[in-house]
Amino acid sequence: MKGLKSILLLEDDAIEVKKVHRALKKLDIPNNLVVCRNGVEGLSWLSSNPDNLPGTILLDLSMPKMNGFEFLDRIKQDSKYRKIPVVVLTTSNHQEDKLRSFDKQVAGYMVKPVRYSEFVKMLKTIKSYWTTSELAY
Amino acid sequence: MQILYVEDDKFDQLAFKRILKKIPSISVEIATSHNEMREKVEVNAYDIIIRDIYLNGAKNLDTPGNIPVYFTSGSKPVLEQLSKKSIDSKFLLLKPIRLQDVQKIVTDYTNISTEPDFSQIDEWADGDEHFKNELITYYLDEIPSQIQKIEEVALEGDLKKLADLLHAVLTKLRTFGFHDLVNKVSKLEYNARNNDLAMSVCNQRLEPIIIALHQTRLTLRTKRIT
Repeated sequence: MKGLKSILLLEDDAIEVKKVHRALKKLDIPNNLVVCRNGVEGLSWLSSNPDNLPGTILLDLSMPKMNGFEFLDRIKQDSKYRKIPVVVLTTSNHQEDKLRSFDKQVAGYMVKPVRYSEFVKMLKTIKSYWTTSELAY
Repeated sequence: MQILYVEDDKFDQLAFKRILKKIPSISVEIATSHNEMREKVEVNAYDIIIRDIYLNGAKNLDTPGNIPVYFTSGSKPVLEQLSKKSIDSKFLLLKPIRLQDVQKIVTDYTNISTEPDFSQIDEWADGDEHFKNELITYYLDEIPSQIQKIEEVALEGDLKKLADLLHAVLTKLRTFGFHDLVNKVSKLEYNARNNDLAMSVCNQRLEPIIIALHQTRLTLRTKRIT
């Protein structure tokens, strides 16, 4: 949707994509959801949309070609993307992965499959962040 | 299948090993004390522990690891007492252990339940059966190629790739509430990632998982509302 920042979802599982679509629709969040199936696609989308950077990135850690950690390394090293809040959505409940993610300054970490109520809570937090930050839509 | 048998009585140890000779797919290691049990569990990936309630004269039910445990005793009243203390009677074995007891354990272990628990999906669907059906359709479309990839990688003998593929399938299994399968897949993923299984053992454990994954398709087809 024009004028609103998009949400970039990096996820290779169609079921998870469908769930995110549904939650956005139910919460009346009109922002466009851009879906990339791996980190390479995600970086490529970011570089080809410099004037339409996403307001949030929802990131799966385990993806083919370039995984979530590699993707995080790349965007956190780039001043253009560094400030975009990233929420990790992953199957991994391992402490090591959580610490590694927060070391890379992620805004949130959610273990899949995420319960609907938790996901909604996270989206509401992002919405309130948008209204108070420089990335406001 | 690897069993740790914890027993301080030499005669019972021999009797158990003799029984297992009749089931060649099982390998067994013996521990004779709590300490030995703990040490062995730390370094080996056992599927099941079968252990005496009394070890070296002391009753101690603590058992390390997140592994199914079967308790043994020569005394029926002792087992009945444990059964009253919320230990499922299927995990209690009266000594001497018989061949059919072990066969039942093996059957229980290899039979993986594929009954879904839709509570998570129902929460997302909020009564929208169309949405629920769509998720089931995605599952039915995607899982065959995931199973195929798992089988190919297992044939290649690549444990790291196998762990990645098992990990990828876990989200789906959790979403649809295939709890039993989730436990088995998580455990195998962990073992494969840590490289602590021989490929032959890994393949042996993968076999019932593959069957169950195929079974989930049949189960979900019948649950789809037309």
